Amino acid sequence: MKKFIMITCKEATLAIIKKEEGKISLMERIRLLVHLAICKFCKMFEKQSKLISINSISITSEDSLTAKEKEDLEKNLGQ
Amino acid sequence: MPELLNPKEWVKKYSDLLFRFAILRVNDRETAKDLVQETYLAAYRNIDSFKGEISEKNWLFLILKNKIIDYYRKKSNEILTELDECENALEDYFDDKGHWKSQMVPTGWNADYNNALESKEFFDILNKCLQRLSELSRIVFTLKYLDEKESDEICKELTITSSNYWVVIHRAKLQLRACIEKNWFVK
Repeated sequence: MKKFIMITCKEATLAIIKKEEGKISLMERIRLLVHLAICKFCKMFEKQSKLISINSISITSEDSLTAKEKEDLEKNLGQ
Repeated sequence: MPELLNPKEWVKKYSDLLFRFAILRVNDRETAKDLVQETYLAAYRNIDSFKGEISEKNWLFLILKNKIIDYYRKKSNEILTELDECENALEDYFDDKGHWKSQMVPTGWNADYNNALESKEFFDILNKCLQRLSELSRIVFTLKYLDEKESDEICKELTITSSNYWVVIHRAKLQLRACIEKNWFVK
């Protein structure tokens, strides 16, 4: 029974990511719950993973093209 | 030509927006510039097919997104060689019993974990850490978490299996988390 229900941190972190994406089976979910009840590190990973997920959509680049690069672009496009 | 398109204004109006979108996804200035140029060229060629159902801007972005996927496909042979490394890289984080290695244990960040953050510093670090990932990890992560695609669709686009997908995204998350922890002083 113990073998059947216990997972490692390596497995738990993957299960956390699968759960976030809604791609976790019932059995995996139960194993994860048991693991998270006893592992504060994976519990922390779960929070931080979620934080990364919800914030990543707002990542933007602040790069821009130089005036010269835009000129070149116009030229290449034959405008 | 439909009235809604104004090609003469495109370079001035949209180049920075398209360029920013592209460079975040290809991590290379020259490639991003080329993709923007190809987007305009494809748009010129297809001006007659524009029906005005979406805005000019969204139409250009749609073309750019397709160009980026084409670019990933062309690169896929090269980047898929990373798959083997991904599996092994988990050893950086976990010992042979599957426990966290002591130097890799997640510690608290003193953040509100349930909400979108407004800290510019956090986003700068997140962006920097994202660009540090290996190419395959960065691409998969970006498709999933920036473009919000379903994993099935990502697998199809990159011709990887679903178990490949989980290995890559697992490592990417571990790497990003560790990188943020190392660089974010608010702990």
